[in-house]
Amino acid sequence: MVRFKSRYILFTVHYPVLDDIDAISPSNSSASNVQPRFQTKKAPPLSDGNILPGGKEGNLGKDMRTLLQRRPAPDGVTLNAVNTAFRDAVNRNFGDLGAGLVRASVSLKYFSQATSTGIIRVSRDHYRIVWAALTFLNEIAGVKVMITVDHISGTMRKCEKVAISKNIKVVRELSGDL
Amino acid sequence: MFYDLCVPWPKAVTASSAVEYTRSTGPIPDLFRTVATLQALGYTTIAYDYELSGKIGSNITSPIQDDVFSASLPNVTFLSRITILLEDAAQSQALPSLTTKFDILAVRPTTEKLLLAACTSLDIDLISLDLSQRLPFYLRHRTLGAAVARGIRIEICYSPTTRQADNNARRNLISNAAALFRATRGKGIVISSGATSALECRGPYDVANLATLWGFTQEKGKAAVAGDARAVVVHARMRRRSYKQVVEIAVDEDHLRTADNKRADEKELQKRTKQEDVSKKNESLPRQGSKKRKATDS
Repeated sequence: MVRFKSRYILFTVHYPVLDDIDAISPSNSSASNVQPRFQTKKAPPLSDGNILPGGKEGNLGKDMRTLLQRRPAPDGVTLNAVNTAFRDAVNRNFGDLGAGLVRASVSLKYFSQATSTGIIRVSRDHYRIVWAALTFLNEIAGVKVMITVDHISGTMRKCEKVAISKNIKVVRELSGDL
Repeated sequence: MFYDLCVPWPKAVTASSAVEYTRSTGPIPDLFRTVATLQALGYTTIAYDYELSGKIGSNITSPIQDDVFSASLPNVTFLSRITILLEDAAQSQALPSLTTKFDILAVRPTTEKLLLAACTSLDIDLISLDLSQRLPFYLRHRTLGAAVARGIRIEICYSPTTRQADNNARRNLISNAAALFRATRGKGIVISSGATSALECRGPYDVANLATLWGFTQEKGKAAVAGDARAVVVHARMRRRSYKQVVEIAVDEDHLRTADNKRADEKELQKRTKQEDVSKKNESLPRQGSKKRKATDS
């Protein structure tokens, strides 16, 4: 039997220029009013509010990196928004041919607003089209984004496992190993 | 082990201006975001690119302070690079003086003649073309093959595809990149970001996938971000620190980190190479081609 093979693309949405990232690091004397979306369990000690330490607070650089990696989705970036966005991207970048090739098989299987992680299912023959469309995508519902593909696998289970292990790593970095 | 050899150094930050760490937006915080994003994506070596056009004075100073973020991002190696917009053959005379000031030398030829010169005779590491425009010349296998044979690589910057709202630039880039792949058969190509903001960065495997759209195979795509890029860095190092890539003067790596020590070592290096020049005058030198292979293996 010739089985239908598919690829599950695990991707993360990043927001490298989202403004409220500044709110997550402690400010200087004038406190910012924006509530951070999530708190680090053990905030690193910061003597001044500078976001770019000149070597004094190496921890902040590390936190900044971790926060740049994973953060919850801002309002507007919902499952439906992501769904529309990436199909649009396929359409815009690959035209009718690309959209047609993947149409029957592509579906957004999972998207979590808490972790900005999602899984797309595509047929194995044309997964690179969807992968490239995700790379070209730079805006979802008005929010400027950057998408990285973390894992591509033949089964959804493997993608889930990789997603979990990456999240564990991030949580560990944020809360434990300073 | 991924390399990004083109992060444009902001023009506003010159050698003399103080590097300010402030929370407001500005060239330095933007640069930090870009570089931090690249680091988060997995790039371990990043080269700041200073673009220069017009007449190049002999006493040019590098505005790039490549250790600006070393403390916050300790696992990243930062390099400095200059890209000369080559409009005139006379500009290439300045190349020897730039060797000591920048880690990587790149050239952006604007005519076919200059491209030929860059590929066959100039002492550089990288040929960078603005692929988001329609090129005024054809990319021929013979010309580019000569460059690759000498160890010079050709760069594709992918930022026009990820920059917003410029369809024309994106199409030109794809068309030129595909033509480049056809002319070189995928050998000797390096892909870098050219990212002016954090939004334009992409992960290394995503970039390699983009390369497959332009005709690369998966391995060649990955090599363009990893292996070939590393070869450029090694080539640049060999060009600066060894005599015709045969003899390398062993200088302590840590010692080189401080700017002052860097300058002192360069002076010493120049002195030593001059002495060796004199002593080797009567001996026959091995051919450049065979030795180059040894220097650039990965």
